[in-house]
Amino acid sequence: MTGGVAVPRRFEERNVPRALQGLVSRVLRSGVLLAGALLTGGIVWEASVGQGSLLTASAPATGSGLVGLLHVGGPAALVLIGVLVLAVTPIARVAISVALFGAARDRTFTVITLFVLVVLGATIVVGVLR
Amino acid sequence: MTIPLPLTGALPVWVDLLALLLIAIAAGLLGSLVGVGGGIILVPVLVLVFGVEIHLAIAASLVAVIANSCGAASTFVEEGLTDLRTGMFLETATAVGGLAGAVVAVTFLASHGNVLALAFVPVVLLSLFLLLRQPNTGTDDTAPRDWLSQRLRLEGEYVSRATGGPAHYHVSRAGVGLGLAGISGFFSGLVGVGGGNINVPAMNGTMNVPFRPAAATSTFMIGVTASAGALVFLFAGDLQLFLAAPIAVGGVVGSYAGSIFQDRATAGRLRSILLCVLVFAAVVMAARGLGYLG
Repeated sequence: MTGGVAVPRRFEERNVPRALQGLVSRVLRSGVLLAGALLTGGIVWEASVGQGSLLTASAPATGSGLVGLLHVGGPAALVLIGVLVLAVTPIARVAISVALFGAARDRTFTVITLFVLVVLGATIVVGVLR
Repeated sequence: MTIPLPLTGALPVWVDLLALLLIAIAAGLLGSLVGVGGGIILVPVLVLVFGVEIHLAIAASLVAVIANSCGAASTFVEEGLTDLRTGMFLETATAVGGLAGAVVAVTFLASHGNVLALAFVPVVLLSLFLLLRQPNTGTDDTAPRDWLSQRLRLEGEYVSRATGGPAHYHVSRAGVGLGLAGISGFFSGLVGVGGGNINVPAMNGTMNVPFRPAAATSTFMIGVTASAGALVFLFAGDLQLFLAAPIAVGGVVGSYAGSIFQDRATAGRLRSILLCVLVFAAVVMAARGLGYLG
């Protein structure tokens, strides 16, 4: 390529896999809506039954603690699920990108997105097992 | 007589939740109208107005930042304004940076809130500087293409507001951009902001990405950056569930409202309000960091 770059024909198809834009957008929107509903439910529930200080419900720091809180239930568990859905939403769209770049045989971007997925996945695995 | 303060248990729980919800709506609204993320407003407000410990404010803010990013990015991606390739390339650095920043915050600085308060000051000052500066709205077709951006085919196309037609650009200086993205990620995890104040000028000023795609791409990347940071705070036990929930919901509601009213807003006046808020935040966080306040 020399000098100015001509606008390639059917740019989007050449640039990213065809289904990527739509899928990523849908996953992000669904994640936020689901998390928003869970968090709002938790807020309303806590507002109606909660007592004392709000700053006593920290998310459990271990995998077993997280599972324990989910078993106990209540508004804190609902909020915890909402937070987890929110944290996983960007990770899910990275996973989709890995799959679609892989299917499109774009090896470089499969590796790039896989790297991000591994970093985020390792954070969860180390956190849960710690 | 003492005034009962929020979040101390002195007020009914619903009053505390409502106060957090309203302040987050205001922060999200102001942020989206003027073009900064919610974190840079939320963290100082939680610390200075609500008396929340800074590392708890940072953890909760990161959750709100994820929500804001995913909500706004879903629209930008659908509209084709997001540069997915460039965004995913830069995310490799923001994710690692976000992880590193959060690990530093929870392991070395958890008991040194003053250092975290001081670390916030340059981030606020950078936002201030960018608010005062005119963004680079055009593209430079003669910008040099480096080896990396050619190899990765980092280029984009978007609908230009100036011409109403598709405009094409190619990325320049990808390596420098990657380094800046790493710094942006580090500060995101360290002080609980999204990092758009570094991402956008890195893409717009350094990498030859026009302003609107740069902003949309930054919004897209921030979800991953903040997720890396938020997970570290979560597994450190620093995430207060009922602090995170209202500010995440309020932040999304506020910034969505902001995106609806955007055209009708008096941007100039809002910009001055935000400038005052940021200057105040920088001064007070610096004072707190240096030990003059609480």
